[in-house]
Amino acid sequence: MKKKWMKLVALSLSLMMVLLTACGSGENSGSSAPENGETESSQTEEETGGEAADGDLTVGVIIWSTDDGLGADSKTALDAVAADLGVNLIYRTGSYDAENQTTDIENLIAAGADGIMCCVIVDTSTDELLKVCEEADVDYQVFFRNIIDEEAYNYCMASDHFAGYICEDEGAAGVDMVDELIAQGCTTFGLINREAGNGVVDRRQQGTMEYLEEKGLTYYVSTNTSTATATEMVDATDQLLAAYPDIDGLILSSGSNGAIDAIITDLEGTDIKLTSFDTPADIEGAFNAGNLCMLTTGAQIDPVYALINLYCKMTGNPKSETPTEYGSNYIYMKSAEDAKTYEQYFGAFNTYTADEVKSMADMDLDSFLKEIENYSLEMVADKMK
Amino acid sequence: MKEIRKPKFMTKDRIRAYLPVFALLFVIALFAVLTHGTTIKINNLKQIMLQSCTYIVAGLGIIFTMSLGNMDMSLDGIVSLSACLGLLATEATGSWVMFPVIFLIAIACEMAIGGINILLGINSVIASFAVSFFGKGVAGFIIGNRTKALSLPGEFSFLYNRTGFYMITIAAVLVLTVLFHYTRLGKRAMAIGSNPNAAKAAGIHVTKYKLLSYLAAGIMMGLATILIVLRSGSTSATTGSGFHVSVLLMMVIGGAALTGGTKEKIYSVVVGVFIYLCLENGLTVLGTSPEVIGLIEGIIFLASVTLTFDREGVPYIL
Repeated sequence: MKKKWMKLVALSLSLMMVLLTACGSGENSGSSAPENGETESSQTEEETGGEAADGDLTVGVIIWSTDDGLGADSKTALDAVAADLGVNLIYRTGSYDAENQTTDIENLIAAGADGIMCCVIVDTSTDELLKVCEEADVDYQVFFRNIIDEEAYNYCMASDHFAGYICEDEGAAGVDMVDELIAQGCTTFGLINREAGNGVVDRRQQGTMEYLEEKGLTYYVSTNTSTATATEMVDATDQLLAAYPDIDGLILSSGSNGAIDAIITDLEGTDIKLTSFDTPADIEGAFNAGNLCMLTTGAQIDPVYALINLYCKMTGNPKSETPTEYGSNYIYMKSAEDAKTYEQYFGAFNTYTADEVKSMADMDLDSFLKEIENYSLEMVADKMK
Repeated sequence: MKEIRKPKFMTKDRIRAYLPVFALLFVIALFAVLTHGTTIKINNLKQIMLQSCTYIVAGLGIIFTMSLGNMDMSLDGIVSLSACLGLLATEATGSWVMFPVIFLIAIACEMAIGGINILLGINSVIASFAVSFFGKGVAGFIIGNRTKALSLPGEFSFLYNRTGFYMITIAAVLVLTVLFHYTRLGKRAMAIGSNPNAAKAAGIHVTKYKLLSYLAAGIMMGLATILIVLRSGSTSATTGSGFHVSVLLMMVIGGAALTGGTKEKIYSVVVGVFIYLCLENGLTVLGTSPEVIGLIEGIIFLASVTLTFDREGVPYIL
């Protein structure tokens, strides 16, 4: 018995040792930073050892996930651009509250991060997270988020370590989604919302509801937690539809963590139309299933611009003397044809070549803003042709 | 001639008791080597110590209920509810009322679990899950009806400082060590966890000591929530998410017995928290992907449960 016990102890420690050693050796397995502009932006993750290039600068990226639709696309795009800029990336995922995001930042700084990119979960904690960076003399960039809380906003905008934030026009996207459902003949709307506290989702939901009220349309709301799983979101959808059978148009304010895929599958065989933020794994298949009539997505470009902006600040060439406030475009898809085009051009990140990425880093603020404004499905498709 | 048998030096219980300490030393040394000393730099150690405070304080309370043999899965709900109501009270009154409110809510939640468990005879896991859902539900409802999350007023931000956190945590460890190992409360809680019927037969007032254990857990959860609020500067409906799993994981890694009883040790909380945080910190410093970190944590949790689970402490295994 004792021998068996000792064997188990030895086995566990050995296993731990092997795993940790493997992780340690993985650090240096990445390829070196591109020395010239010949490296393509579409460089794969395998080629870069799972992280970006082995450059002088390290950026810590805090994002909800790197394996759902938008999270995975964002990682692909970030890895490619980081390789072009010669920046190492370290990711932290799965933190859904302010305290865990604080811990993430502390650990990333310990890992040698010179800059932090954060998709902030709790709007009112944006300034608290910045304070951790300030203490360590590290620059901080917010992506996929703006700052609603006035106190947090004022603190961040006055900080020397705040590079800025980038966010899409969430309210306008909500309005466009309602219009699309009206065009599809919908009259009664169901909103699958998330609880308050996430600045971006709050603005989406607010924009959608205000527009529905302005139009005098009937709508019902199901509010779910920010951490709701795909199954929980499907349950919430079913319950809303069971309670209000006259609903013929659904708006999903956040399809992350597989929620969108699960709800599309759940609606199959019904006449209910769906519009949603975020991206399902099989976009073309989702449109062919018949219920999905509009997707608001393409936001993976958001962290790309954020990384370039942060890179400029970290290298002493900030786009502006004060923190920058960028608005990034969404891409709308309304058919399987759009989805096909999207998947053709966005499957791997090839929106910008390495030369273009470097050129964007050198641009002045106005030119950079113009570049951000130009981003659209058509722009990317034209470039690829 | 009669053979004199020497007492064994390496007994199963001793291995169980000291293995987590060796594991902590091993983790620290291993990462120090792999990261070329980055993880043992003073600044990094200070960060790990700061991160450990909330978990240690919460764990010190939960060890009391765990020693009864009762699992507490309500920590996320307690943190969410007490932080939400505390900040709401401060927002409404603009005063320090947040602190007593947080303590009162946390104590009420823990006492509710104890009450449901004792009075209704419902398994503590089920009772704690019910309280967790209730806490998260109420906090979600309150915050869901607002346009933004609740934030800590600026005048309280001076309370968030390293020295203060360290002092509170060290004081908590000292007080709770005395309370758990050297007073009737801790000893009787462990006796109840070992065998409630025998404890009752020995004249121990089981109900009283169970409730007192939940009271201790409630007070420490209140303190942990205050530390969380001070550290994050705000609260939302997601505050505390996953906290119960993290604390449980840390305690098990530290060698706390899931079956309760006299084998519980306060140091297992401290050691477990540091093993977990050093591991997470070390893996991040190495640039390990989040998915691999999760995998490693899972393997270590499984190994810890296998190594520390006291099969003799449960009457049967289904």
